[in-house]
Amino acid sequence: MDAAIKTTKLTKFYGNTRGIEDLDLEILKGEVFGYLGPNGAGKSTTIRSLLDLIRPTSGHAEVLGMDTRRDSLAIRRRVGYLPGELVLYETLTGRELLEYLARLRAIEGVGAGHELAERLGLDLNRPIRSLSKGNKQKVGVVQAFMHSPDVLVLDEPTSGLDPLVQHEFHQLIAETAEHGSALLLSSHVLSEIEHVTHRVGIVRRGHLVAVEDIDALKAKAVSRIDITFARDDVPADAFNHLPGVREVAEHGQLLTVTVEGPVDALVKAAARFEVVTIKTHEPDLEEVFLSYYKDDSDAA
Amino acid sequence: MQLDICFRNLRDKRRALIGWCIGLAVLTLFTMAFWPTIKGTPQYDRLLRRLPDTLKAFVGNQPLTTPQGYLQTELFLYLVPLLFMIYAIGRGADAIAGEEERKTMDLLLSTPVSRRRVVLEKYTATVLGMGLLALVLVVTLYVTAALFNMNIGLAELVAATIGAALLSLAFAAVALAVSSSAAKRGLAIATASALATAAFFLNSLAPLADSLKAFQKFSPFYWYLGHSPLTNGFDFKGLALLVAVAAVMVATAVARFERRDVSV
Repeated sequence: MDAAIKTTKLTKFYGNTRGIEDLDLEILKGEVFGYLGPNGAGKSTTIRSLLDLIRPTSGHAEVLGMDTRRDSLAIRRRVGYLPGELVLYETLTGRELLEYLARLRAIEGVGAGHELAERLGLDLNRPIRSLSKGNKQKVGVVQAFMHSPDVLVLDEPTSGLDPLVQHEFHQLIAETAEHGSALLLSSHVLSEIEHVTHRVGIVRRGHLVAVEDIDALKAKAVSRIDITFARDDVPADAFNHLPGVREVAEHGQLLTVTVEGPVDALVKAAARFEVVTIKTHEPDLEEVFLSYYKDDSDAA
Repeated sequence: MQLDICFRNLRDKRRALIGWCIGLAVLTLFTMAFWPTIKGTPQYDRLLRRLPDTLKAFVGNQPLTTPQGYLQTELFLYLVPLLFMIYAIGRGADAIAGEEERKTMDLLLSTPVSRRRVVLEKYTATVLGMGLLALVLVVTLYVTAALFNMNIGLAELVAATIGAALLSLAFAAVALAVSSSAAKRGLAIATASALATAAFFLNSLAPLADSLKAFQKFSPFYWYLGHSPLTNGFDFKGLALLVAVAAVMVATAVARFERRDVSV
């Protein structure tokens, strides 16, 4: 597959402050890429370089095979962008804003703007200054998608969206990727985007420290399982050596097991005893994610 | 040329612009309403003649009882350029730095519009707004001159008004250049205002000091008023110099904005 976004040794310093350094990133067409890192790690620096809002100190970047410096207008025609710190023209209504941006993009009407607004439950007739943070974010999402772009660059897209809208938004992302568009989603919280991304890249202090398939990350994810047995003499040893099991703690009838990856062996082992309840806790990808940070800082 | 950004800018500021027009018309009307009284009071001129040269430099050194002298002293020396410049410098300073300070520039520049286009359209909006103010001034002056029996030609009124407008647009372009370079609206206003003030003093005071006399003709205020447009009509050389300054500053603004990072 072709790369929709490709950066090569992309470096940006603000004076002596490092934004990003030697960043190599590749995002394929049809791919949803999660770009993760704490605030100030360099996520927005990367994203704003792609749109030619800021200019790299060295290295370069390509979007759809075009150079971000030389062909910025051609790139921006085919890119949808949701700024991280979204501020809209407050005095306009949603409709006026979309119409304005559509004219600047030279597209028919407002493209898919009306359907998108309806989908997200957004009233386009209200002045933007009267909208809640979540509704403003919806306007931002609609303007990013309305011209059916080939590449979407969404900086912290889910901030302020309520869960129902997030669900609809995730659908929209999945559909857009199925149509062959590439999506770059940045976030500082993995759980916000783990359901929609194919791959995640972790950026830390300006460096891309890891890129992982989300499935591989899930396989490495650690889940905690609480099993309550009918009897209190179930031996912890029966679980200690099962594949993936990291830790077993016994408190009378309750057995708490920490498992990495599939839980099949554990469930089968538990089935040999009389089980009252099994409670599982969502695998915490965040923990896996953070372990990269720990490793990296140990190394440094 | 597409003008979406320009018209958006004008529409967003239409209430303020209407306010400016009304204020300017009312001020002009009041000033002109005093003309019949002043005209019949030659003592003013005798008083003015007795002023020391340094003060004369500031009150205009013109007889108040002629239409040209009255209009120059009361309107075109201070009030009109001051008002025009407050408007124009404000708009020029806001053009780029304003969108950056309000954090809407990222959104604007995520669309396929070049930075050159943004700068040019924003300045065009300032030119059109200035043009409307100039039109309001000329019309008000022409109507009130007839109303209060002032004998002054339309061509002279137009010449002086266009001069004041171009003077203001030149300093608006200075503000635009700073706005495009530094993303700081306050700095743009301060720089353009300081230069305008310096230009004003250079024009007013240079004739008083032999050492400075030669420099008067470098003041944009001199290009605007040095030829006495209310008496002599258009001075195309002076106006061309004002346009040239504006053009150089706008070109600088484009070059500077094209080259730098958009601030967060």
